[in-house]
Amino acid sequence: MSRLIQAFNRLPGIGPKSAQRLTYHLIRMDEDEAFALSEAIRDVKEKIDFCESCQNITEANPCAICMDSSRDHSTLCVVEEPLDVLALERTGSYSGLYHVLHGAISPMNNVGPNDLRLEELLARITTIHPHELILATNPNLEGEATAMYIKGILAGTSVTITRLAKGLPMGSDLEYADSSTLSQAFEGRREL
Amino acid sequence: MPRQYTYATEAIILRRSSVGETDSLVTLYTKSYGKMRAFARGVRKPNSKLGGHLEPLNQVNLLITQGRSLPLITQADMIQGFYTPSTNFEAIVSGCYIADCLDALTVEEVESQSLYSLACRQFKQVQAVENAQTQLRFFELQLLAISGYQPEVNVCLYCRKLPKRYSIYFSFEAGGILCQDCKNQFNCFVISETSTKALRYLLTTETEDAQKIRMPEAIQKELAHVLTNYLQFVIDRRLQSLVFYHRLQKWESSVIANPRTIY
Repeated sequence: MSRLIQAFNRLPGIGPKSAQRLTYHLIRMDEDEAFALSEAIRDVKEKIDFCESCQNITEANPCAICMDSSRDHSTLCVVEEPLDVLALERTGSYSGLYHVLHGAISPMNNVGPNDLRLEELLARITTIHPHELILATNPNLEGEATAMYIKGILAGTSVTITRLAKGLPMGSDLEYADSSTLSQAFEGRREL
Repeated sequence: MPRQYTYATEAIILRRSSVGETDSLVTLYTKSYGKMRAFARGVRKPNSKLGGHLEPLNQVNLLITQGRSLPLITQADMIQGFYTPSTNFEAIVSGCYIADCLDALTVEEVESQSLYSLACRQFKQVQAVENAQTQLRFFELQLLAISGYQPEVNVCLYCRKLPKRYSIYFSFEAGGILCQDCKNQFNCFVISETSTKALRYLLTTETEDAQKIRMPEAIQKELAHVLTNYLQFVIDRRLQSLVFYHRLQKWESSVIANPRTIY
């Protein structure tokens, strides 16, 4: 029991009390449900892998998105995390391929380009020669640093590098927008 | 400065770390109360009114309320943002280094308006200049001086005599230069006369004039070695942003043709 409490305690956001509560909940749980949970954990570790092409998490290698011939293989969208791929797929407005970096450059936390799947991206660009590379990293300090870094190391190549537009989110209030977002929203304004 | 339950202050955002689903823990260097950590609720939601203002390296006006354990940021208004579409990668890395040094060398709740003004000026300056190395050396020296760790660069620390031209030594332990006769008293290494002169100039000059100094690459490197290591000696740990930079240089030299020099 203490082993299970310690294991739960190692999960993000789970403190010692929550770990104890989860353990007692598991003890009271039906055997079938508990075994289903342990099997799901085992399956995740055994079957889930990183796609050799886009580095997204997948059960099949290469993943379904990379294998889909109906998608635009000349456009690559670079994202920080696998969850970003899900968010972009939900929009239904992008039909190209992805590349997941698994993080962002963070000088203050000592996360450098060698901690990301950047070498794989460079290799992929030299192999498939995409027409456009969309940098969809988060619009914060780490995301901007990552986008600028990628732009810097690809200077001189023929690939067109674009960045997702920045501006005001739906439902927001102009009064509370920061000056950086507002000025970028002005720069990116479009004719109606 | 005595504080009320709710108080307003200017601040620089040094770092921001995620807490829970949408909250952040923000490390600030405030003008009126020195370094402090404060909690910002819901700032990672896309529609958050505070989110964009509380990005690292921003200078902001804040309204803070005393929370149960940590102060709570209730309002934020950006005075100036550090990165604009024209900011480059080198400026971001230099800005992060300044924030990291400031965070490492200061203790919470000790106010210093001169440190606050220095940081504001240097954040702006590293964006404006093409090569931020001199500005970073200037910042390190001024930060050390304001914090009470100014290195002695005029006379030998031990005998108080002027060292001879080609026999100047620098000691982290002693906190400055030593002459040939006194060098055995401490662990030390040779430092060039030009670097010693540059240190003297950077200690006495202003932000704008610091950029006027022209130094050969070898002197830039020597100064970077002396100051970054002296700073780390003082704080007694390695700066994450420096480790990042050394790893970046190593990776770039193996992957890219022209690795950059930032620090």
